[in-house]
Parts: sequence; structure tokens; C-alpha cells
Amino acid sequence: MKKKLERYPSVHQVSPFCEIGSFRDILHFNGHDLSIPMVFGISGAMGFAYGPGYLARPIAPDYYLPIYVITPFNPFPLRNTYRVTNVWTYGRRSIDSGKMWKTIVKYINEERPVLVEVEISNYFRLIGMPLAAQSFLYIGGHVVTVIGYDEENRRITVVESMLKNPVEVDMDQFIQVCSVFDSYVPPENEWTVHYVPPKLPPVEFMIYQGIRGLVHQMLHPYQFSPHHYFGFDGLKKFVTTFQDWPELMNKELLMESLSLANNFVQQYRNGGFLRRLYAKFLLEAADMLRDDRLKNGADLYLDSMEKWNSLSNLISESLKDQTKGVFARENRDCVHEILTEIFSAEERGIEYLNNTLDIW
Amino acid sequence: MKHIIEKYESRLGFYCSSSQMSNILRYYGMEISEELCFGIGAGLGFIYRKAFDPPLYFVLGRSDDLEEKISYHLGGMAIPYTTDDNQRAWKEVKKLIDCGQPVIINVDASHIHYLRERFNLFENVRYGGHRVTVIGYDDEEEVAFLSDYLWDQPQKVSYEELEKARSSQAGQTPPDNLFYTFLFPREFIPLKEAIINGIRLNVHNMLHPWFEILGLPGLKKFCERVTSWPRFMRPEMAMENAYMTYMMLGVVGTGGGNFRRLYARFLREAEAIVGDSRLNQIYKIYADLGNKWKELAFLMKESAENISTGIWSNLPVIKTLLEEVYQKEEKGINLLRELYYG
Repeated sequence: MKKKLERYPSVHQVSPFCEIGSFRDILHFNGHDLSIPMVFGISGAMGFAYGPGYLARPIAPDYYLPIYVITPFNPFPLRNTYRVTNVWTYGRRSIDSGKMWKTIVKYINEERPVLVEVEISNYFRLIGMPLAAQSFLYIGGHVVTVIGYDEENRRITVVESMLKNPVEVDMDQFIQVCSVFDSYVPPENEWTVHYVPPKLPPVEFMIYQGIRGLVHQMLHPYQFSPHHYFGFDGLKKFVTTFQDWPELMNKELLMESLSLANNFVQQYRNGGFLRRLYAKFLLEAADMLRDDRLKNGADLYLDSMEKWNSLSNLISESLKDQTKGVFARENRDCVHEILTEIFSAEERGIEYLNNTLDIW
Repeated sequence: MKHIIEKYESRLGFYCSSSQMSNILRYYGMEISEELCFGIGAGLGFIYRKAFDPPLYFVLGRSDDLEEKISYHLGGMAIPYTTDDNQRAWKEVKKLIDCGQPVIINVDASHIHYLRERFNLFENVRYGGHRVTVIGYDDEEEVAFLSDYLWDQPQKVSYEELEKARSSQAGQTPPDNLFYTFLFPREFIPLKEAIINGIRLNVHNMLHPWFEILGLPGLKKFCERVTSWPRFMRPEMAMENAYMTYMMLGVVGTGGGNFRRLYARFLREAEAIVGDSRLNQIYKIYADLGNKWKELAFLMKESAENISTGIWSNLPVIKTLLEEVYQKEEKGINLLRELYYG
């Protein structure tokens, strides 16, 4: 048996954010023309999370890392995206990779793409992509879309959000990168299918709820455990403790933590700690709703993006030479200033959006 | 190891998901009625689905994923975890209990002794979507303590029974060992806003469901087709379907009246919070729909006992009742649409 969703590659767009990009493709495949920035914005997934992963209690049971983690988004970014778009999903983890495979085949046969979670380092090797900087971590949390299979030749077709064209890979090797149970954030053969309604809620509702979600989460963050810090709680903790990182952990953990932080700030999330993507969303929303106030909001997030990039430049220096960059004695005041500016820029952004919501 | 969350208060309820969410939110400091949970969670809905194993119609007046929708509308997040690995899921549930977090899980009701004793429903029926809250466990005695909507005291269930109930494969709605982890914000989104967003999502769900057997399209199909069920199935199967539908519309966890009474009370409570007297008119429509669905449920019960009576009696009044139900449902949703959906 073999089958491929032939139309899928034509709806795919390259995205720096796997969950958001994959979901955008699925919406397009079902006839809903939303851009990547728009899906990101309405998801309300942008935010801030910070914490010493090794102390943090896992959330359900993901979200455990051995290092200090800062992320520009909330955990499980797609959960609230499903809520705002009213898309119904069905998915499951499995101890049996054969069962997962049968499920994938069943849904592809029904013309339904299947979102699958993979272990990053081995998956990138499998598809021949240069390894991301965080490859030192044996970690899941990356989602890809399976759109075809060929059982006779043991091949499957996968859409990787960061690549333009689908890739064909060996079926057994692919199953191996899904069937991982001992990594951080283990994939555990997790698959999800989406049931997209023929009509989405009105776009102005989705935009409003997305912005509302961001504002509320930054001002009144999730309270989960004493070592998870979200929203402004997290940002405050980050700017006041970041310069102490060399005292808080050994060199190896420090470099790994910096490396992951830098990835989020600068590299595979398209630069600017996702603030650039959010600014694009606000610009698009301003045009769609003919509301120029959102354009001013976009300017504030572009400002924040620049501050994050300044920090990233110094982190990059440190990653090349530990005596230089972000923790070098001569840069201490400069880093302190950047951190303070980041906090102010983020505060200005949220305050502005909050005021805009009040008069909307 | 033994751990029971003593502070957790199990209040009685009408529907499993909304009552569990009301209890959970109260535990986290938000005093909120079950009715508000139902409405904010966009709980109103309709499902008309034919299952194959067993071949029974599934007719129900609610929507899905209430836990996720209400959490979202209040500024939080409910994270579902489903797996076929029962032991893995149970380990995670216990971890959450140890941290003082009550955990909503799925069970196949037919495997839970106190539910079997209460409802004469599970000879052939498997329903894995019944929500209960685990509030404690005792490894020595090998029992878990469950909060369930019709009992004001925790129910003791053996690990063996719970494992069967959580990992059951039977039926169209397997429990998949589901459990939820909740992320709640320091302050919830104000109720007024959450109520309006809940109504909006509910209007959208009813008008534009992701599948035609749901929402108003599903309701229309049900109203048009239910009188012809005996033409498509053997008499005993038709009567079993009638009994099952009677139970689902009027007895099992709907608050009576196919969830419409529950929604009516939500609208009455919402009227005071939102300060919008127009909701009162719509409240009356749903209160009336509650009575009409109750009437329909009893007609199904009659048919379950005698196939020539009740809903299948061919009396003109049956057709009129079904038409009235659909028209009223349509009117209720359209009035809500005009208010908050644009």
C-alpha cells in the first residue's frame, strides 16, 4: 500500500516555529488562508518562561530540561491555538510503535495529515539537516507532518517546517526517532490529527483573543510550581539572575544553557526572540482590522526584538570564547543595561496592548 | 505511600465535566458555579452519531473538551495527556497528587462498580469519556479516591478496577488513560469577559461544527430521522437504541432536559454578571427547551418498552414536537448570535 497527500506540498510554507508552521499548513490544507504570523498571534502563545529545568517539576510530564531554560513562548503553544480556532484534535502517545504506524496509515488514507513528535538530534541526522546548536540535548518536542507512506519500499514522506520541500525518509528509521522514551520531553510515539471546521470564528475575535491571551499571561502568569516562572514573573527573575548564571551552575551546564537561550533568541526562531514574528502579526492585524493602533504596537515589539538581539550578540561571543561576551567583566554594566532595557521594552509593549484592548 | 488531598471539596453536580471543573476551580480559589463552568466552557452542543461497536446511536446535547475551553476562557490552560501506557499515566497522576494537585481523568464508566450499581446502562454500552477527579491514593491498600459528580464523598476504587476503567479499549470513546494538568493564572480573566467569549464559541460551535453530525446540523438530522429508526433496524435493536437515547437525554449526567436546563441556568446567572437583560429572554427559551427534551426523553422511554408507542407512535403531535425543538434550538442560537457574535 502507498499513498501521498499530493496537494499538501503546495500549501506548505517554511516556518521558524514548528508547531505554529505545521498548524498553519493544516489550516491551509483545509481551506483557511491564515499567515504564519497570524496563526502565531491568535494563538496567544508568545510569552516568556524561565526556570532552572533541573529543579522544575515537569508539566504533564513534559517540560523538563537539565539546564536553565528561557523560552519566548508558553508551554504547549498549540493547545490554546486549537481553542481560538475551534479545531478539534485527537491524538495519543503509545508504547507500541507498530500501533502508531497503523494509526498514521489509517489517517493518511482518510486524506488527513498527521502531526508527529520526534527526537530532535536523531531526526535532523535522518533528514540530513545541519544539527541545531541544541543537539547536545537528547530531546523531543519537535513536531513534523507525515503526509505519505510507501509500505512496499519502506519510505515515508514528511513535511519539515524549516524546509521548503517534503523529504522522503526510511520508514523504520523514522519510527525510531518517534519511538523514544528516555530523552528529555520524550516523543513517546505521539501523534495528533486535526478536524478543522469549514468556517473559522471571525478573524477579529481570534485576533482579540490572541492579544488578550498574551497580555493576561504576561501580567497574571501561570502559577505552577516554585521553580517555573512565566510572564513578567519570569522576565523579572531572568533579568535579575541572568548575570549570576556562572555562579549558579557548572561550566558545562552554563554553556548548554547559553546555547539553548541563544537558539531561542536568535537562530531557529527567526531572530528577536519571536518578537519580530509578533510585530508582523500586529502589522497584519492592523491592516485587516484597519486599526492603526496595532501598528504602534508592532513598533514596540520591533524595539524589544532589537534589545533581545543585542543580548544574543553577546551570548554568541561567549559561546565562541567563554572569557568574552555576556559574562565578561568589562561587559557587566552593558549587559545589565540591555537586560533593563529588555524588561522596559516588554513592559511598554504589554501596557500598550492592554490599553488598546480596553478601548477596543 | 498514601496521599489524600484533604482540602478538596466534592460538591454534587449535574454533569461530570462541568461539576468537576467547578470543584477544581474552587480548589484553586475561584468560587464558580457548575452552570457558569458549563457556559464558559461552551458546553452546549449536540451529537448525533451512529456507533458501530455496539451499533447504537449516540445522542447527546453537549459539546467536547469543556475542561480546555473553560481554562482557556479564564486565562489558563488544560493540558491533556493521553497514552496507551496505563502505568506511565498513573505514575504521572500520582506525581500531581503528591504536589497537591487534584487530577481529572477519563474512565470507562462500565468498569466502575458504583456507577454500574447506579445506572442500568452498561450491559452493552461502553463510554470511556466519563470524567472523575482523583484526589488521593493509597499504595498499601491499592485504592484510589475519586470525586464523582453524583457523590458528595470520595469513592474508593481499587487499582485493578481503575486500571481496567482507564485503559479499556471497548466502544467508540476509549478513555485513553487521559488525565489533565492545569496551568492557572495568578488572576483569572474577569467572569464577564469569559462568559461572553464562552457564548461566542458556543454559537460558533453550534452553527459551524467541524462535522455535520454535530451542532445544529446534527440536531436537524436527529429531528428528521429519529422517527424512522425502526425502519432501519431490528425491533429489539430499535428499542435498545430508544432506551439508550432516553438515558442519554434525560438521566445520565445531563441535568435533565438534554443539558438545556443547565444552559438556561447559566444564562440566568450570566444575565446578572454581564448586566444584559436580553439574556433573560434567551434563558426562557432554553428553560422551555429543557422541558421539551424531557418530553422527548420520555417518549423514547415509552418506545423502549413498546415499539409502537412513544416517539414511534406515528401521531402528528410527535412530528410537531420535533419541529418545535429544532426551531426553538435555532432561535436560541440565533438570538445569542445577534447579541455577541455579530
